[in-house]
Amino acid sequence: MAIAGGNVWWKKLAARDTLPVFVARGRDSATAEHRFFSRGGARRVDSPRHAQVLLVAGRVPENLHNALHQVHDQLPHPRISVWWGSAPPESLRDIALRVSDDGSVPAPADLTARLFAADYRSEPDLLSDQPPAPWRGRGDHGQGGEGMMGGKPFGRPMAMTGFDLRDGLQLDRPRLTVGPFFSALPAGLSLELELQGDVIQDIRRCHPPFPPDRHLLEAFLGVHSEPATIARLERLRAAFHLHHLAHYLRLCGLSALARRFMRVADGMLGGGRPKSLAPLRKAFLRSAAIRATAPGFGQLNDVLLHRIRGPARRAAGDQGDLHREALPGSEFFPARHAKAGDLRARLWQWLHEAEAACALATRLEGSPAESPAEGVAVESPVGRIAAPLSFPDADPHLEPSAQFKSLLEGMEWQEAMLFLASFDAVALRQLLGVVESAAADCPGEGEVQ
Amino acid sequence: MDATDFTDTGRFPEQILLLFFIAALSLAFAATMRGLNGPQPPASEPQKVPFLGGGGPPTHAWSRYHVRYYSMTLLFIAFEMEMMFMYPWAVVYLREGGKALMEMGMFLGILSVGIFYGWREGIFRWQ
Repeated sequence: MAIAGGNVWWKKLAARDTLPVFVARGRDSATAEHRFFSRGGARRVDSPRHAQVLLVAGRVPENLHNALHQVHDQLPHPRISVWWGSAPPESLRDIALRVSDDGSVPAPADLTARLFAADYRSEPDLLSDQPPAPWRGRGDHGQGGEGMMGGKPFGRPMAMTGFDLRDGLQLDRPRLTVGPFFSALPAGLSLELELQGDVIQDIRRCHPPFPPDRHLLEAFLGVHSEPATIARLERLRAAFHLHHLAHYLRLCGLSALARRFMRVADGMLGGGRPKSLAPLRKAFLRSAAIRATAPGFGQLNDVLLHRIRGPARRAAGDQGDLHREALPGSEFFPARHAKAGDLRARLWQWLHEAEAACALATRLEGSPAESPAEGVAVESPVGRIAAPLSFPDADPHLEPSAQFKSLLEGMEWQEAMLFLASFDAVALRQLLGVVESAAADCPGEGEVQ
Repeated sequence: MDATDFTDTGRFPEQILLLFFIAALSLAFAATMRGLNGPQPPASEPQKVPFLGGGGPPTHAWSRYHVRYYSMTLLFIAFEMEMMFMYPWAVVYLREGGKALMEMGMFLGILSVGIFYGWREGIFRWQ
């Protein structure tokens, strides 16, 4: 391969390293992400500044395109973007790679060769090269800029002072929007925050997280029309919960353990049949990841608890589980319950339910596919669902519910990140106050009950 | 033991030169590593925006925030200085005997007034 600048030894060494890829997750991004990384040779990085490839996985709604272009421009040169599920913008039509679900997947080695090639012209910026507030020069009397601070360094005003929630101390409160493609937040969640130090003082507006992957929920949602084996459904459930636990572990910094959880989860999605998840439970216990927060942290008040469903609600002591009713013939013993309702309880609930689902799948391996009776709700990994849901694209400037604001305000940054990671996407949307609607072609109750 | 035991005036210029040489070598190494990528275009305006996952920063990140651990730091410094005085005392303690013990006890007593004051002010309460 002819490398730009000559075939020098350090460039050849760099070309042999794993390819750093930043993943911008859109809706239904899990397939794209999994298929891209399953072959090896690429690694996920948490910042576009460390990446050479931008993988746009899933469909990014129109109103988030500006944010996506912003992230694209932050990758250093030479860069290339792979669009899987979305259409690249006009200016990149000839350079960027477009992948469809049934097409060929570019191998990391090919991408490296392309990037290092002598004649490769790196992707141009998508946003215009204008500073946010151009310097207007000094005035006639030597003044410049505006306000007490004497100008806007680098085009942005300095943060103004305000009262701290903790003790009324009046220091600066910078504002920022942690956007939809931030790796520490659930995919699609964007929050406009006001901070003081690392404590969240105020949340102005938000964009709710993207709903769970369609193909993952479709197996549960469509079980009325298309019968499925209990083993398959339970493995999907276990994989769903293990994915969330893996994300939490990655936030704690335990990326090797997170990859292990992901590998087991992806294996189950692909048809693998692990006998039990006891080794994962042991590793989870030993890692002490559960102790990243204090016991009792992250409890929801009653009002919010009534809004959510699924494992998050069961972790607070609610006993509802429809296994026995929905799929006749399966003798299901309910998963062990966490009762405290705090963050630790929600994580334990995920682990218990994943283990119980895996055990049930192993026990009922050979049972035939069946469908529940008409109109009976099915317990999906996010709660009881009686009819298919459609999750329309949300407005990026939603006002979050007052209850949600009161939860997060006053939390330190790391606590807030871990707190948000302890809910699945549907529960988080319900907490934020997003109303889910029934699918257009399905009359009747479409809510998660 | 006296002052002349710790100087080596004979080889002073050579040692300074060696230090400068090592510094210059490190600088040259760093500059070479930096320049290996070849000439890079300057960062464009969209690249200068801090990474927030696509969101914008409407205000500057240069903001003042309170150092919440300052009370711990003050307490630490105070007792560190007390420790500094206890080091030479420990060397001569055996030779001086009980008088030295009483003197150090009085010193510690005076400093513990600081602890009681802080205790009442609530600096030991974890927030």
